Amino acid sequence: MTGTWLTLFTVGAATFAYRLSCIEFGGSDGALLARPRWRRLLRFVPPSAFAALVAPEILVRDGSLLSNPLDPRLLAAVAALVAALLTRSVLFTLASGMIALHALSSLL
Amino acid sequence: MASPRWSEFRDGVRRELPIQLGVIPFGMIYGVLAVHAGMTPLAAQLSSCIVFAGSAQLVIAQLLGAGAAPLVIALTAVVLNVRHVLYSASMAPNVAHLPRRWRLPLAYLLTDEAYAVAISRYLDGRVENRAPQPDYRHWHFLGAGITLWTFWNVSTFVGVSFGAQLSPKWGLDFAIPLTFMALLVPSLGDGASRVAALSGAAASVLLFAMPLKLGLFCAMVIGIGAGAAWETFVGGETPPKPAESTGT
Repeated sequence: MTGTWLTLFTVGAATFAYRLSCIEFGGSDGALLARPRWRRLLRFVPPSAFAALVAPEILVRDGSLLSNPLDPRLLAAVAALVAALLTRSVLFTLASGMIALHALSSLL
Repeated sequence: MASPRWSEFRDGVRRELPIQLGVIPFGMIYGVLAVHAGMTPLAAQLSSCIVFAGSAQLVIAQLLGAGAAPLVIALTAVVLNVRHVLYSASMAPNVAHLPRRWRLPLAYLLTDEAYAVAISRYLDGRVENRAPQPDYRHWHFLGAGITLWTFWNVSTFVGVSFGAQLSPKWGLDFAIPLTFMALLVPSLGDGASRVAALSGAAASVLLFAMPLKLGLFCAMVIGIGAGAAWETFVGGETPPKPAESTGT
């Protein structure tokens, strides 16, 4: 449990430091990470991070690569991806994926 | 007649409210999933105050549930949240002159959604065009930020309260990657971003077996590097504005 609190306070402190960085240290490139060389890397954080979070949850099963193309979680993820592309809504994406998962699990 | 401070504050609240249509479900989803992943209700709730960044909170919950080491979880979330430096850079020219009792709370409230409302108030320029008068636009920012903070924490509370009652057999563990997928899609605006996403995804699968869940952190760094390399050597498309919303 100590580990949980340690994690929360570390990430909280870092996030606050990011948000404060340029405001406190003079102007729009006051912080090292806001200088142009670093700044162009920052926009790749969301696509890279979110894709890295999603992929293994869908494609890795019990420690090895998924081999069944009719896997319910894989197909449900495709349904959710379509919903995300069409609606851009967390709620609709989640609902489509979960409904697809339960429908496919009972069918396949 | 309302004071100019109060009327800026109230406008900030009013303009932040429509965005809450997206914030409320996300806060509830976070609350439900955090408890489901094994966080105590107290830790799940206080994360919304201490971290106050939805996607990082969800990553922490997921990795705690997967039994990852605290240091590795923190490292991963700290990389994910580094994008907030961009908001800080964008906001700095507008608020750097304020006294510290303003700078600290405004920095704390600088989330994606509050940034969107506050920066549009600074960019609309009506104040400069009028005769010299005091600038109270930081009250607008404060109103937007407090509104978001309140809705985020209340919706977390509702989610946490529900989360404890949901059955594990609903397969809700699958809901966390689905939520990340919804956050991923709006960030795929140009070729280099898609390269970053594909590389991050491939690396994450290949490095899955790394100890302590370090593979996720390495995959994020590889994806960022691949996106930047693609932009440098292949694609010269105009980058999308960094202000696009990727969750709280």
